Amino acid sequence: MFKSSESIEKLISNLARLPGIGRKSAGRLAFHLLKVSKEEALELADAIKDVKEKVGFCSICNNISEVDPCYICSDPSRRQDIICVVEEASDLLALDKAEGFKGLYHVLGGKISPLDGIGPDDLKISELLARINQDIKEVIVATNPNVEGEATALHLAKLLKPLGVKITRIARGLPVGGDLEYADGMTLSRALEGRQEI
Amino acid sequence: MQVKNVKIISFRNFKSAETEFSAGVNIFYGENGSGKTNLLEALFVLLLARSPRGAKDAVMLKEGTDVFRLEGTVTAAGRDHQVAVAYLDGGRKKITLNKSSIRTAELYEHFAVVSAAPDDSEILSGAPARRRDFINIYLAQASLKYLALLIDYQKALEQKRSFLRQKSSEKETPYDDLLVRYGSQMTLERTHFIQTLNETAARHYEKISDGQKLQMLYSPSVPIPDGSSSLEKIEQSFRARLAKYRERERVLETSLIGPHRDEIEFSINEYPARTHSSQGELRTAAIALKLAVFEYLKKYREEPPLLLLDEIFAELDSGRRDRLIESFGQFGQLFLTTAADIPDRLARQARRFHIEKGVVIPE
Repeated sequence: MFKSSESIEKLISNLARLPGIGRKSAGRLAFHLLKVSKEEALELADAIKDVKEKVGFCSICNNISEVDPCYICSDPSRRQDIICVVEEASDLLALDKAEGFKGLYHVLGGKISPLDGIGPDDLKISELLARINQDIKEVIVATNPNVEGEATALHLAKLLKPLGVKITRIARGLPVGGDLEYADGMTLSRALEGRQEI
Repeated sequence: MQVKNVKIISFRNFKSAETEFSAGVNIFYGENGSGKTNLLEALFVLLLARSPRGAKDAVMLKEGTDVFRLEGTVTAAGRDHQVAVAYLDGGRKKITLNKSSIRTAELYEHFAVVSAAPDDSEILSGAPARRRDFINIYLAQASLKYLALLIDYQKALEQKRSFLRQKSSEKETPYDDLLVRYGSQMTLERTHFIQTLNETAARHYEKISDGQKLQMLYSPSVPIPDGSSSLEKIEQSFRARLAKYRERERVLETSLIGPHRDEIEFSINEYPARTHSSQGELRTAAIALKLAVFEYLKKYREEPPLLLLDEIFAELDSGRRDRLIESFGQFGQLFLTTAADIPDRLARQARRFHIEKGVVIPE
């Protein structure tokens, strides 16, 4: 092992703090950045700076946004009577790419996971409850189909029910285009659990 | 189910071993500490990526190494599979089936294995966790639904415990609803499983012991109203029980209600096995139980699971031993170890392997 300079070391340890990046990958990225032109490297630095300075959160739905309210909350052509609840803003982006849904969103900012130190109070739940009024007909709970997402969904359902709003849960199970015969047994078993009447 | 061949690398006292097996009875013999039990364990780990005796993965490493690897050709449902289970540096396991990487749970879909060993008498006489572990490992092989429930339930339970430790002022933990949903289904699945095992194990015990009685009774943490098999009723009962114990759970900062607190009671000739039975009785009952599991899996999977029998003749009188051997005919592939002489009736139909200090020598 050779001893690298202090500034490289600082870059590597900063990169290694990113999700999904270990020491090895961080080293590779750092040496890549050393090799590229100064302009290209600074472009990345500026992009990070820009994002941190300009992008904030929508005060209504907690989506990431450069304006407040965000472009979704301020779009009058969207249905105003239906709210889709997601864990993260990245989930919102994925769902909004699907043409099927043109209502409003609410970003919780995570899921209930005490093991990661996240309790119900750490999520934007009271903000969601405050949005429910006579005009809201339905709340779709689109938290992830894993244990934590499921627990968060049940918790929300418990709080929303007394408000008299219709609560639905996105379906979980088999991916479209995936043949039954190639699905693993546990996925099939869970999909059967979530079967619906047709 | 049939293991055609196996390759073992730095597992327990095996540095490197490779051998082929007979489709019928395979006998491992050798001195104490030669590695007979380790070889059975290797077969179990190859099929389900876990130790039958609950040993941690790192414990199964050969001394002075930090990786082990097991490979084999296994026939299941009429097809040959190439399986490899590798324990990698840093504690990760890599499992491949026919050259593609799979999750541990997928092994349960393809393979089934029943193991019987001397310390099985602890299933009857040991702590309740030993009995729950026994139920989990075998019911999961019969029902993928149960396996999925078990995995999800464990995750939800960890979350609930963590929540309780954080001393929140909330009355209910945000994981209670989910635990009720998964836990009630587990309770129902366990009820059916234990009912069936109870009947079959009693039949085997009666035969081997020449007329004695074994009984197995499920005593779930959430009482089942009047033996009801309605999920809804169990969920109601679960909720009521949780409400009653909520304050205690909060004070003790742990979860007190649910399948993780289930108990199974065994009695032999109507006396509680834990307190009244002899070693020989417990050993016989444990074998009867494993034979019952074997039959259960055979029925549900429509082929006999692999059967691993470690020193099962120890502590049995000659009458019990003979009657046990009589039942061997109905099995598929069978592996057994013995430090003592091999009974003639078995030796004739078996392929024998001499195990010596981590080396396998076929005869």
